[in-house]
Amino acid sequence: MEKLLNINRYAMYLLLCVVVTIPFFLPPSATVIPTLTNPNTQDLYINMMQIPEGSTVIIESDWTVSTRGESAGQLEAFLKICRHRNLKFVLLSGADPQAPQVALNTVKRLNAQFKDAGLPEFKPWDDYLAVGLFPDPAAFWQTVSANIRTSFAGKTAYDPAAGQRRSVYESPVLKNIKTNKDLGMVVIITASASLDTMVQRMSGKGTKLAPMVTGVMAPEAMVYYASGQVVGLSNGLRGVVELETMMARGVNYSADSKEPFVKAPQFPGKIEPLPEGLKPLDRGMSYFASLHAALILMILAVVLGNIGLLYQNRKGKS
Amino acid sequence: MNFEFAKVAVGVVATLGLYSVLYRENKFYRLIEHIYIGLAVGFSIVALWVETLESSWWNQMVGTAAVPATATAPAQPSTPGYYLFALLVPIGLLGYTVFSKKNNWMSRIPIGMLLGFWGGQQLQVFWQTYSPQLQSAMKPVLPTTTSSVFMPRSIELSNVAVNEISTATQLPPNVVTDLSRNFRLNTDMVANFAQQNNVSPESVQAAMGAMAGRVGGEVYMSQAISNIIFLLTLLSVLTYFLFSFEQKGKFINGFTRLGRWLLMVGFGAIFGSTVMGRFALLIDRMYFVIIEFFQGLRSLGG
Amino acid sequence: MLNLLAQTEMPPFAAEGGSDQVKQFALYTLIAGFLLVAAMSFVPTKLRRPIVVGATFLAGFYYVLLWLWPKPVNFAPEQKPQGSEHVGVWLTNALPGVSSITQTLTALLLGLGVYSVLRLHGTKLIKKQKDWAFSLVLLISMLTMVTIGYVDYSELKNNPDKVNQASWGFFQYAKDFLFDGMLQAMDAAMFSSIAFFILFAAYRAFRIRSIESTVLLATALIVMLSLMGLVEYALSKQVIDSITGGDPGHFMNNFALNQVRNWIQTYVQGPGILALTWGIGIGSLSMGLRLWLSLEKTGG
Repeated sequence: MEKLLNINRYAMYLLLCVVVTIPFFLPPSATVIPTLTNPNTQDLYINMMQIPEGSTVIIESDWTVSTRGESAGQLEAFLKICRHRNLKFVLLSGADPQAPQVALNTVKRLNAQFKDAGLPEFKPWDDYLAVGLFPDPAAFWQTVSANIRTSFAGKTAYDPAAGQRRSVYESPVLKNIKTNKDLGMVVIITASASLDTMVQRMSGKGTKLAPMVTGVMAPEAMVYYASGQVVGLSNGLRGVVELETMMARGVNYSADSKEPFVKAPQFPGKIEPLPEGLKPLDRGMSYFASLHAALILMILAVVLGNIGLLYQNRKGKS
Repeated sequence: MNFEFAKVAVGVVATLGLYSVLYRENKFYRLIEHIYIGLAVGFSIVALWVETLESSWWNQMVGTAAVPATATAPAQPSTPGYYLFALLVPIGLLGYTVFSKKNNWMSRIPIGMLLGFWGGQQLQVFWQTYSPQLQSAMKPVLPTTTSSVFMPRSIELSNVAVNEISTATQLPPNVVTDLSRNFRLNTDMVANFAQQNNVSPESVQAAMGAMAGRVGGEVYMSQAISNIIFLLTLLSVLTYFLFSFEQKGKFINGFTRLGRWLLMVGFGAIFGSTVMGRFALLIDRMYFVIIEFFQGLRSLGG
Repeated sequence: MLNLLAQTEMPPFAAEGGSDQVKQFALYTLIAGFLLVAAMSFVPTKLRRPIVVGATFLAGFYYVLLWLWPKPVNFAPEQKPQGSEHVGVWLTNALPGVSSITQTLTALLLGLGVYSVLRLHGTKLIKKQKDWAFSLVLLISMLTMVTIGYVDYSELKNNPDKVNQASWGFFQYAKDFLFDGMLQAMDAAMFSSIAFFILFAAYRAFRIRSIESTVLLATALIVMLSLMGLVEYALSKQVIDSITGGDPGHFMNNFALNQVRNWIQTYVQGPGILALTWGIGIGSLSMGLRLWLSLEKTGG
């Protein structure tokens, strides 16, 4: 008993490394875990899948590799939806100078995946614009809601057909955007409090706001979902897994007239699963079994610690 | 050596170097740590120009020249240069007078301007952030019906309502009435009901949705109790954080204690969510160190 | 304030973009600015506070006006403002300019941080203090990143084709190696190491010692259990379905793990955090007003 109550910290660190690593060696089919979806993630996905085809969305990507475990899966999931629904997107960052490059690397990685699957890649200028960092996102979002035609003033991008840099407003991505209401959605993938800035300037202005945040930021972001300031919320790794589940299994959808796996009573329609080529079950699901292992270890550690407390109390009394 | 693998390999070495502090402080850790800080500061200096000063200051100050049309692209007009932006350099550099004994008061000018910009925005920020939240927190605490404690599975429909649903869903009125006795069915139950009544499962689903909508408009006892708990939590936690007056008296003390307990529920949930976040980051690193590294190694071997 | 409205004719304090004239004017303005700064060192003591307070107030006043002044929503560029709309539209259109001022000042003040790093490690290196070799490593990696970063940027600017990896040269590979291969991996390793400390701290310190800690622990356990998809699925779906027979209207559905977690999240966690953030909001508002109006006693 004494030994169990005084586990060496290095043993515990090592155990954590081992338990999260073992699931990586399991066959992929064994790591597909049936996961129930929460209303906040359902609302997020349903709203994303209802963006009119061919629309333009703005993605504020405010994460770096330090939160790749959560944020990369979120950006990848939304980019797959963009591919599926032929959405054009503006990629920008508002919190970290490293974030624009990390987001571009994600697009590059997904493009390679699409190419292997025989799907069209995202083409710069025609399908997306990477406009870099906006060091004062508050002012940027304020101008988006007031007059979006001034928000990207001075920003240029390389037009491969013209062979030169041109104003981003001339690109097919932004050519038809006259007001913020023309945007299909504004998505923010963040590991910081940059969602607050966006909500402060953009909520209630006629554009749907869709946040995908890390587990640390989720409890605060939940307040915005509860008050209707954002249309849904993806919460960390679990949120990615829920999104991937809906992408793979659809919503209110059942191919063989059985009970649908994902039931969203708030949504009267149904959404079909994404094609296999888009690899709907991806990073989130491949990490999920490891998360189970780590959380079980955590619960065991807490229980063991408390057994120790009881044991010591009893010993003290006797 | 393959470039991508070299990147992964150096990343793995750096990761292991930084993890080595988990055992104890050591020279290898210190070396990697200093490289990390150096690279991070270096990247910030580059970003300072590339992402901020060039576009927000230089381009505004000198504008851009017109670009004539080419065979593939139309002409681009010039944008004016606002040369007053040059004044920002001396104003910004006033911040460095903080090191001067005589003139350090000047450093408060740029800092004061930045604080002013921030302070001036707080009125809008407060209103825009909290007014919708305040509105959504005003939840009904009195039930609108006492027919059921929980959201019921049956609904009493007037003849008018039966006819409305019947018209909208194409179900015969007697089937609508039958369904209203238990309208919360799973897919198998819907299929059985549809088969028994010789109607389509889709129309049954639609009628169920319409009935759920009518029921959802009511506040049942269970919902009212939940709403009371919501308001109790909100008010007791707010009271706990009120330091403008001395918290005296049995009621206030009890209420703030309740606030503290309810706050712990929130903190417990935050803890769970944070743990998930931190573990996710570790899992990703383990994936990088083991899977991506060995995949790279295997690809090297062809 | 700059007139950013007029685009057809040259606005005041502006000159033809990219011309020698605008660069000349900028140089003169810069010199005048430095002369003004030099003159400021002769400002009498009693005038110093009004100058600081005035600059602070004017900066904040713009944003207050921007919020309070009525203005048309979603104003299209081809529309002509009328009456009081002129001011509203002017304020709105001036926002990118004001934002540029904020960003420029912030960037220039961030240089103070860089200066501190250089001073600290430069002194260590020159005086050969303890661990000076690490300072040397730090300065070398910083200079390498700065050099490679700038050269890469200027090459990409002059030759946008270099964005494609097929056209990369030495500096693009070097920047990718330093940024993606080293900096990002180190950043991620630093953040992820917190997981080890959380686990060990929970083992040693997360104990039931009071009502508060019991409530906290119980909620944390419910949340952690429900975050595990498999556990939640088994407890919410399979166990509950075996009791209810798959009947969605059954009373016991309310006690499925996911329902309990959602209830806690909506009715206890949500308002608790709401109350916290409101408190923070009120604090920020009052602090904002105090700073803007220079009511802090130590200000100026």
